[in-house]
Amino acid sequence: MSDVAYALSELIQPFTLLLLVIGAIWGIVSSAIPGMSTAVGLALLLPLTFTLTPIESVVLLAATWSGMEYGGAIPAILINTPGSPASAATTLDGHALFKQGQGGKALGAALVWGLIAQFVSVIVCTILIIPLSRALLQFGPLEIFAVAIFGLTIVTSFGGSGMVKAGLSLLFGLLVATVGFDPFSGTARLTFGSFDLEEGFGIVPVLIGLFAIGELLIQASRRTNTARIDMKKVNLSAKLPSLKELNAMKKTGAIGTAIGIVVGIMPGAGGMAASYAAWNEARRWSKEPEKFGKGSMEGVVASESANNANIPGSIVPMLTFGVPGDAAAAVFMGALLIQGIRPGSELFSQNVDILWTLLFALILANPVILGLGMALIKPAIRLVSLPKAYVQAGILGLVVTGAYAAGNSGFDILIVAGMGVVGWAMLRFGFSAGAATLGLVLGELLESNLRRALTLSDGFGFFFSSPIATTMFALALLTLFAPLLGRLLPHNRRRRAAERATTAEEIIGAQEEAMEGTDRTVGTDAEPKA
Amino acid sequence: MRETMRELGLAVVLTAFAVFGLFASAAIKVGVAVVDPLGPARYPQLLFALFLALSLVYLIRQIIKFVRERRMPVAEVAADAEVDAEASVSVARPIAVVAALVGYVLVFEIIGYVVATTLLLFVVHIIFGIRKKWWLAAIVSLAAAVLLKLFFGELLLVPLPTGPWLF
Repeated sequence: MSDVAYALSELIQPFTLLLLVIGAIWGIVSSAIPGMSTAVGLALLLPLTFTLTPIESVVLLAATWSGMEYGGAIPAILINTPGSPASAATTLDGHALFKQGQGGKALGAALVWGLIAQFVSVIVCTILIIPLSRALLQFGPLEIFAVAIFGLTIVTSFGGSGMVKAGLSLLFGLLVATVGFDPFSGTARLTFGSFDLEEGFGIVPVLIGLFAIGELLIQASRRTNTARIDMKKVNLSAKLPSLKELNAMKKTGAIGTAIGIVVGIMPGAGGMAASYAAWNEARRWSKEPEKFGKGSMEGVVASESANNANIPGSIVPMLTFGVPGDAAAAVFMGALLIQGIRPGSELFSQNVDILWTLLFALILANPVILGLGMALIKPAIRLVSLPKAYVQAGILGLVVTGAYAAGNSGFDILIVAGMGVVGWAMLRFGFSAGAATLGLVLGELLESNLRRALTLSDGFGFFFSSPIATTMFALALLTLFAPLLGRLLPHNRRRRAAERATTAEEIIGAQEEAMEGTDRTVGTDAEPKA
Repeated sequence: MRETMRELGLAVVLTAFAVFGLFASAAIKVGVAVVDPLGPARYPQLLFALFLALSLVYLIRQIIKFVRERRMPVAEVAADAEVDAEASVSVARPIAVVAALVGYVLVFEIIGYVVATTLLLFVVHIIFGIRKKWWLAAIVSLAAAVLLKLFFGELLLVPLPTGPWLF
């Protein structure tokens, strides 16, 4: 219990509270920038966390993460451009509502339901984490290795980029993690005689390169420059829902929250999968399913409650097993590793205060976001309407200075540039930077536990000496091969052949829409508030 | 078609990377004091082997796709080319950004953080298509560099290179 009290007392320090507010502001405003996914927003803060204590950095990142889930809804509703992928489902109804003059109400509903969903999700996840952490104490190297393997296989089948591409991305991350001194024998590995590489690749330059520079290079390659927005036309403020309206939405909110938590806990899915699944499910349960996509408040509530409930959900596997739920959670785990905090049993035995601070920060961030959420609508939209050059140059300045600050060496900036090229290629050709991040943060854990387990072993049979590990290996195999087996069934083959004809067109349509979504010249279809 | 060729090229690069990695990891020196049965080299070798296997699958898929598209009727190829034209975007601009970053690393310890960063940001503005308002870009770049210097250098006490003029 004293850990809980300690965490609370740390959280209410003036500087920590200031970081909570800064994180929320950065989250809300930055997520309005097209292409600024949650992972990028968090990665940009990593250099700053070097100067902070573990508790302070956890608070800053938790507030940012929460702020970004709400902030993404602002451009989604007002200009039909999702700030982050997790808000893509919000555009379906949010912008239609805005056109009908209900934009303020949609923003208010997004804000309040996001808050409620995140609160409920934190409570549920706390209840889940405690027994999981006790079970974790029984885990030896073999079990941890098996869980890590299972986590990795789930990612390759969930990545949305196909198993081969997700697998290659993951292996790239794992390989990057092997560079430098081998922790067991002290041998330099894959350093090619470079002194700079002996310590291995730093987490900060690799992550900000993959995410921030990768995205910046994608933005550079597109010819459109500005999203012109007539500020007079987006002149509106959030209207919070009344108690009666809240009551009417409680079923939808519950569906969104439940799906957000479940999808969050499953490794590899992420906020976008959660919000689309919730939107779909809410439509099935709705009394007015025909309004979905044409301006249903339920659609906004489902999507926004799901992407907020997703955050604590994706923290559960990250903190307990060290397997992050999505790219954002993987970056968050990178931040913990920078502070020398290793998720898993070590966290629960030595750094319980961090766990509690994180959970409290996720709750406390919400009233802050509620207060700031209304005031920051205009600045966020103004940032979207700036010429891309100013925003991207600002991000680049932050990135190079941050990378240098993290390692005090120009070499790190070169790593940033190199990883930026890799990140660009990954985005360009549909690979998964999230899977690569997972490989990067899990690499050392995977290898050291494998080798430790082998040191204890007396042969290959050892791998199957533990029921937990055997179950995990079996699940991993099932995840890897289930899609292949399903494809071979004659019934499925016929269906796939029938689907192929339509999906090719759909995919192109969806891609065009996505391109437009991030870079369209907006304003023409933004109508004034009624 | 062009997109398939690009992916084909990428698949070749990935396969070459895996082969190179296998040789590089075979060269890892396994010392005498190996404490575990696996040693330092086996794990990276295993990863590179898996990487090679997957990149070969990717390569074969792209080759099949390439051959299939070559057999396509002319009308479909034309339609495909339109899609390609939309997907094709500037490659010069990302390359210019990376080149600017490399140039930055080469000079920033000589000419100092503020000057080098101002130059880098200004160049990036130009790469991103600012032309008429270049003077505004210059002012914004200088202001951003000074702000970053104050934030990282003075507030967070990061020792940023100063160059001959102490900033």
